[in-house]
Amino acid sequence: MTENTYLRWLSGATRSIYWHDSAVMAELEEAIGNGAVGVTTNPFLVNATLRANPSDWRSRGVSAAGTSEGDARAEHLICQVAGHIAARVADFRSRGFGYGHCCAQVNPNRPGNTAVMRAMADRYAQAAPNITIKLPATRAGLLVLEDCVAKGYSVAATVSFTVPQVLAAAEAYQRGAARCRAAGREPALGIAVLMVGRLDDYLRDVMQESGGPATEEDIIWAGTAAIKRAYGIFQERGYECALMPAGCRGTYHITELAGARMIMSIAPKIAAGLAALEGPFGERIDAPVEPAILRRLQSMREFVRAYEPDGMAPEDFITYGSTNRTLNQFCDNGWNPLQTLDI
Amino acid sequence: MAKTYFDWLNEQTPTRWWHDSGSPDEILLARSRGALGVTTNPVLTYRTFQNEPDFWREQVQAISGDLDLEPRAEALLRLVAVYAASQFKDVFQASGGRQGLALGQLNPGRAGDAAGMLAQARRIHAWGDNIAIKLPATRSGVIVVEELAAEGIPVCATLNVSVAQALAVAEAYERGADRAEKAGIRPALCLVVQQVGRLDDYIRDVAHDMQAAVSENDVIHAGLAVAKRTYALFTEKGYRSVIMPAGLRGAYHLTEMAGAKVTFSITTRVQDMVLEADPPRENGIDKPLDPALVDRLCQIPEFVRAYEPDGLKTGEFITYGVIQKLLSQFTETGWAPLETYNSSKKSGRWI
Repeated sequence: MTENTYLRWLSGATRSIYWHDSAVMAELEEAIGNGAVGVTTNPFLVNATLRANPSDWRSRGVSAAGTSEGDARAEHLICQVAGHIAARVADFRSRGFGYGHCCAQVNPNRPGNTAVMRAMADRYAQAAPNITIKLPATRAGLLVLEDCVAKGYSVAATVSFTVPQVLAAAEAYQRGAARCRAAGREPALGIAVLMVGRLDDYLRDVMQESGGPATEEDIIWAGTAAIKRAYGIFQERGYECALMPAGCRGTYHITELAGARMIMSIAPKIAAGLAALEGPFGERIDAPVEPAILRRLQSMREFVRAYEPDGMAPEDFITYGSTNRTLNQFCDNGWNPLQTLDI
Repeated sequence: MAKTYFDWLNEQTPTRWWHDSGSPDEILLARSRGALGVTTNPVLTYRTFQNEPDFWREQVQAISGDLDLEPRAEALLRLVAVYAASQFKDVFQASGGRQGLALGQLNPGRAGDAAGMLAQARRIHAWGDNIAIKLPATRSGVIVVEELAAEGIPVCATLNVSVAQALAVAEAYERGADRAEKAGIRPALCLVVQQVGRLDDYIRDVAHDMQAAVSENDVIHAGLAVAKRTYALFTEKGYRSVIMPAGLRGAYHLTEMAGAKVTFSITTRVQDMVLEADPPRENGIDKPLDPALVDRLCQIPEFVRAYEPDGLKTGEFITYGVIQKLLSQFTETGWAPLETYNSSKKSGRWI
């Protein structure tokens, strides 16, 4: 096992919590050795691990047998893989907030359909007690999220790239938590994902198209700027759910947030980059993004929509560019191939 | 043999249609059914390699394993485009270049890169006279349309779901074609795809999300409303570009536009549906949609953006939800798998 001194420092000596971002068991074991205490999966990662290691998963009891091709099979396979991983990390739960969960995502083909997402969430919640149900941060997804929190389910708002989305997710969580407590229960873990690298990817394409003053050096700060701003607002308002940086494209997406009370979703490739860093390491969450970079980014309307707390209304979330490319990718390279996967 | 609906279109109306896939068997079948060209793209190219590997194997293996990602995808795309074009060379010649083409699509990863697209377009044009350059209706794509039109190179603007995009392409083509004529070059064909079914899918998700008071029947007319409006505007302004309705989900997408001087792109599945339904031979283009239906759709701001001639600014084309969805799809299920198809090279793409 590679000893990752950065991740051990981050997970051991700061308030930041490390979750592993893949559904490959061997990778998970290495991550746990370096301090990972939870796991994020999505339809893409589940499809990828089942196709890359079918015999490993068969030996763990995963099978499509008895399910007909279609949504039922995709859901069944996601439940099985997520349930298996959830069992592996279940012991960490006793260590407190943010520990011992595994994410399972609802059907990305129905991001506006509350009925489909609600029914699926109810089934996921039965799969294992420490499944975190991933719902899209659309208007409809957040309505379902609130209901899930009220029922005591652990939730994560994903397909989320912007400050207004994570704020809306946090508020939906608060409403659900209040309902949960009113019913005499303690609400479960809530996460508001901000896919930092995917925001950068989208803005890069928009920048190339519009030829604005922002450069590649600015673009790679866009997601970081958004999540730092959101973090400040979360602290100020005392939101209970945790921000989660995800879709990282480089070590900078983690190092710039080090020390934050966030749950960080870190893929093996990023973990390897962090392992190459040499200490001493420092917390960077309170270091602001350079004002000149921010000014250039703010010349892009699509960045402003992502960065300003009121940059979008909830009904705009499903129309945002990053939302659409990400949902499509989760469908084309995740959910849809899972519908016909024979294992 | 009894005349089919497609025979009627070809013989009694100005409406024409092209086949929509790269499958050699399907192309032959479609030709026998009256198709006058082939629409190919990275997704369909990859699909025929998956479905008919024996047909392509020798040609695929002849491509050097040393090619980088983008040149490899381009070389593979070329195989299918050249084959499809070869099946319609006679139609191309007989129609003076108005029919009988196949399409060579540019890298969807360059949707915002006008210079990169222009260079790739010139390479693809060298594949054959009856291969049109397929490119996105983004701000950068519109710039490239004008340049290619000025050079007399046929184009097909895709990733288009809105009236505003179609108008921007048509206007760019007029500018380019005028420049061509001034230079003594005969302007080539310009097709403007209207992805009717894809807009419907998007509007359905948005309508559900905002709980708009529209029915499924309203939703499945969203793309048609846009296509009909675009057609009326093209006719009124006398634009030379030809609308290409694509992404059809049923016979109604065809029958409601029948009689229009447009060229449809139709998959084998929808061809079968049309032949099965054997619809009445009636002009559909002159029948407007129910105004109440359009009013209901207009409660959805995303529909209004697609439907109004000034609903989207040029710089917003690339940001519109369906366009991002389509770019992702062309990349994920077409261009990206082609980059590494039958190759040991690994893609560095992020997920």
